[in-house]
Amino acid sequence: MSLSHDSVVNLKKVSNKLSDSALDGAIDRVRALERELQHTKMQLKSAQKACYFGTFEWDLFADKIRWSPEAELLLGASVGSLNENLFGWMEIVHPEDVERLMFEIRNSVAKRKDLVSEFRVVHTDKSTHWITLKGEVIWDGKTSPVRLLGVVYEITSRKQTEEGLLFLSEASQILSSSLNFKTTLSQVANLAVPRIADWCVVDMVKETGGFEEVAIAHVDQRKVKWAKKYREEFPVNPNAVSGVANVVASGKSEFYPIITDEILVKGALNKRHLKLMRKIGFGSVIVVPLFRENKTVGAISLVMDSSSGRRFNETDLHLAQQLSSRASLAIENSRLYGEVELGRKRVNTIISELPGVVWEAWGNPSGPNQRIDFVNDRVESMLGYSVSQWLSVPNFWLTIVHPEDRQRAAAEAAEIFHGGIGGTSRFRWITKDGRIIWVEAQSSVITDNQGKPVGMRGVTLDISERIELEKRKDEFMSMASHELKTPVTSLKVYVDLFKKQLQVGNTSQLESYLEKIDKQIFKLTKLIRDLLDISKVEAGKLISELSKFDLGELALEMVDVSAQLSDQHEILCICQLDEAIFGDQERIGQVVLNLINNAIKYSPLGGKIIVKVYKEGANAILSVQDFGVGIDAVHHTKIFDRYYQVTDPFERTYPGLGIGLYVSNEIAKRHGGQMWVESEKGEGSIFYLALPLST
Amino acid sequence: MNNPKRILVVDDDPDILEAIFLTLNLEGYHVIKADKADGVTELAISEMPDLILLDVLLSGFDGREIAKRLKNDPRTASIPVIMISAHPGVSKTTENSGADAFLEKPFNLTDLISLVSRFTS
Repeated sequence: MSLSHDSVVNLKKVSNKLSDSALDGAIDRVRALERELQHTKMQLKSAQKACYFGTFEWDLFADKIRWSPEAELLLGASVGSLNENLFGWMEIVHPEDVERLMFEIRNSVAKRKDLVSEFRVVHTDKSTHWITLKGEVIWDGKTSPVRLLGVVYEITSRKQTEEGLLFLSEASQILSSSLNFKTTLSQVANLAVPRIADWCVVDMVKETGGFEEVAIAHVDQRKVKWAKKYREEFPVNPNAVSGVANVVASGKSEFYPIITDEILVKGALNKRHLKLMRKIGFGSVIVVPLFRENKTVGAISLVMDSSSGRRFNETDLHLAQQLSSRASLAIENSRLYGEVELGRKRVNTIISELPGVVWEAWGNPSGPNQRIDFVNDRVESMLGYSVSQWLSVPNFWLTIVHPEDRQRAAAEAAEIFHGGIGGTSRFRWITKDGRIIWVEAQSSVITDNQGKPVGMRGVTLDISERIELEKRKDEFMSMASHELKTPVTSLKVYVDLFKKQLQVGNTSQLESYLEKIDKQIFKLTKLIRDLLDISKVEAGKLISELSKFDLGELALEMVDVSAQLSDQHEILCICQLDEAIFGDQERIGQVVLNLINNAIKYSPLGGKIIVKVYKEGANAILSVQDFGVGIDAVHHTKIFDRYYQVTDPFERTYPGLGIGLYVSNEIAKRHGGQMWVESEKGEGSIFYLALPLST
Repeated sequence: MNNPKRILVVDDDPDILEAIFLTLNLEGYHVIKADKADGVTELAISEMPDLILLDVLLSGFDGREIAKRLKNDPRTASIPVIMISAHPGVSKTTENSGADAFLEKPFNLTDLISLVSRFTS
């Protein structure tokens, strides 16, 4: 409670009626009080100055408020100008806060509670400030409130920090909600407006160069259009010394607390540019960089509209930088996740496409308790057993190994496991439907920290085809050596005979021996040529000279050649083709000869062989029919495979390299044609060669 | 030689057949040729040769089967059989068929002659 100058004068007037001594004592006390008061006032003043707070005294009866000058300045009025009644000063309070503030004042008076309220005031420069008002109601006796005494102080920066933190936490939540950073940045831009800026634009550097506007938000939807139009007409200039491009280039933030018209004029490229910039209304600008892998990849621009009166300060800059580092983290996460996801997808695709079992298991593979904890789905189609069976039955892999291979496979697996490095093992698995497949398991060993083996992982591939081919190749090698040895045997016998006869001086037969030797050399040469055909097929050099020729004539020629090979067979040739075909005549002749020779070979009891040439659609067909041993249907397609020979124990006694049909079929294919067979065991065969007619 | 030894030679390769025929002929043997597996047993029964030279791989037939049949038939069981093949691997399986010897192609003329003379003397 203060003692004013007036009250001291009044006190003196009253004191005149008192005794001098009493008066002196009273005056001394008053003086002391006055000094004390003066001291208190000084203290208050310096406290107000130091702490930015103002005081007020509100006469509730008269509705008259006395503001201290500091209070008036805090509230955005010049000294002595602030309205002295309640409704009057409410004019400077932010319209959104008026109702609440009024309620809180009334509530405090009605409930005899101290008043504490936080509200915004709008200064004449349109800037908004947060104020705390604390007051105490003074009561007249116990019945009615007379005065409200209190203080006001500014809490804008605290509020800004609070709001900033809230904004950052919400933004962080959004940024971590999805790994599509373009979506999240757009959501963050919407969150930023209007809370921390009037508009927000996010630009990212495109991989192809230039910038892409990935997000834009504005308090005023119409201005989004203008802003977009502005960007279309004036894209980010990569060489600009300020703004987005410079922030991206330097990696440093830019902060323009106030953009004056002068700055706009200076920065405008032309009149149109200036007009658009003015229309958009840059009041205050912050541009912060976005990073990925320590490289600037974009920027967030925050703008206060010139008409809103809001301006950025250092706290806003700090907030924007915090936002950019969180957004950068999100972009980095998105990239890392993308990479991990890509890698995962790649691995998953490879695993699911791999023609084998991918597996991981713990424990000794030959022990009773090995546990398989991963197999790919492929295992089901490859072997027929379900994935759950693999995972639940201990040592399942070993239980389905062929009994003849089981002990060896277990021993090899244990050796690989204990060896600690990894290795390969081949064995047979029996599928659920009883088929036997050859597999090759390539394993690596999983070790613990001490290097002790704890498990294995690897890939087990179906190598049945490879084994089959290897087997066929072995058979081929043995067959080829047999075929080569046959003329060599004759050759050797005639050479020995020649020498023997020469020794005894009998020269009468020598000439005939030389002829036989010559014949064997010719046979050998032919065999070697056939063998070379295989490598020619593989090198793609089977076909050389192409010409137009008559397939019927060629067939007749080959029938003539073949007829000399066997006197037990009657070879007929029926030709009903007028059109020519185009191809390698020598090679096609080789196919025809091969088919007729096969017909002879596989009808050892002799009989008819019918060769037909005719037209069917756009193809010329040549067929060779015999009435010999025939071929079981299971071999019909395989006999055109390389090294394939019918493995029937009875039929396999036919000599041959097993390459004739393979090479013939390759010749047909190289001509755009094909070969097939119709046959039944014991009923003879018809081999067909189809070649496209020359057009 | 008053009573030349009689040898039945079975091989589907006419050149080898001819070569063996010439060789053995020059050595003074009487050679009966057969270029097919068909009717070999009948031929053996009717000719009753002193020795049979049999190729393992014959078109349409397995020489080992013929050897087995000859050895199982009491009429021909006593005739020695030498099997000839370019497959070194089949020498073991020829023993199972009851053949008395195996000659691998290509062979030396002297080996053939000494083997034949061993089984005919």
